[in-house]
Amino acid sequence: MGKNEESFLSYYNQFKDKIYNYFLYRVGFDKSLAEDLSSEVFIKAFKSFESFDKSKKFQSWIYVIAHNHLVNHYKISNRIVPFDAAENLLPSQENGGEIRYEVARVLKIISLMEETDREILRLRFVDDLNNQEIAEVLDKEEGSVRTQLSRSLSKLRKILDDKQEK
Amino acid sequence: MDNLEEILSSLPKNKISWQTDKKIKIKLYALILKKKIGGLFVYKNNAIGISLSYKAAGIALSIILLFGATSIYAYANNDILPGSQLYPLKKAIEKIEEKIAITPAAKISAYEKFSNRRLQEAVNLSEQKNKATENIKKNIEAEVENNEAVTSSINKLDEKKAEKAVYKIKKQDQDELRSLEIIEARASAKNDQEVLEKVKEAKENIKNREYKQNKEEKKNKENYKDAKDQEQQLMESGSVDEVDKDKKSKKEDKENKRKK
Repeated sequence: MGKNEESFLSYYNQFKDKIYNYFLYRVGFDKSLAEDLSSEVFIKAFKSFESFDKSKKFQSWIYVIAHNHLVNHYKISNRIVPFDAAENLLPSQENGGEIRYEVARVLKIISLMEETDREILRLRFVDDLNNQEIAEVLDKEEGSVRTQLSRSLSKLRKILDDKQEK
Repeated sequence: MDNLEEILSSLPKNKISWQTDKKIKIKLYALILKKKIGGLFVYKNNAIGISLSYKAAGIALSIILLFGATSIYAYANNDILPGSQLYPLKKAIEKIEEKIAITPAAKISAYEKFSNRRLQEAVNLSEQKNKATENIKKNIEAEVENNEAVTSSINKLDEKKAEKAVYKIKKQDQDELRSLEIIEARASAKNDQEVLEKVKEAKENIKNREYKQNKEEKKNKENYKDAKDQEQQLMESGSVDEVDKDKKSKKEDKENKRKK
């Protein structure tokens, strides 16, 4: 096996779960669809791996491919995706009742926020990308990502606090 | 809410199912194999060569169906080394590949690939902490054998095709020499005299590889050199007339032959 193929397979092993989660949170937690999309993205990435600039981060590259693939998927399927359907992925009551309650509450609130807020929160907290990586995926300046993230977090915190007071 | 970021960081993260993981891997290995099989028979202008590549793909596919993704993994992976449980499977696929390579062009391509592969495996073996002297030696021997098979197949080609093949092989010879140098450096660090000896033989074998047209060129050059030496000797002995006579008699011989 050539070095190219070998390094791609090693990247695949490293990022398969991350890309799967990326889709899972963006297709209404439809596991089967998230798996199909992950598969398509890795095949697509493999076919164009020769064009990948090895001096850059693979993570940013594969997320950009996943992002574009998802945009195309939305265009074709024309679906609106709920964000709070993650209940079945949460830990069971016996394993962590309190966490489950808090996470479910936060997910519900996020699902009511605007798509720009939702996306930046997902990229930061589900996909574990840092500001620079988010900037690369969204094709934005790092500074603007930082501002947007802080704004989205403040919005979320405010809604949660307001709801708690009520 | 003070612990908001903590809660957000604990959002559930799932793993891809093993079935899907396997499916994706099979697809990727199939793409790798397609890439490799596609390059099996290099002489694309040759119609037989093209039909053989379909046959090769068919047989490879049968093996994949029989052994699953493991066979693709074993076939295309230079990390599957002698001693590994998958190594016999890798060799079995190569045997089939060798059997279906009927034309000299297909044989050249297959043997050259096996030769490179054996050497790459030897490089990987030499990287291991433990001495793998016997396996490295075997692989270098296999590399030499495959190279000899390449040479003999080249000599069966017509002049034009042989010239093309030699040009390509010479480039690959440089890669092989580089790999041998890596093995040599590692063997030298481990003071592995047996491997060093084998590397030396293999290097000489590559440097002394001779092909049909090379042999003819060499023969012509030798004949020319002999003639020049003879002429020089006669000149030195002072008998320039004799040289002239000799030249004249050669010319006459040629003319007589033409007349005949």
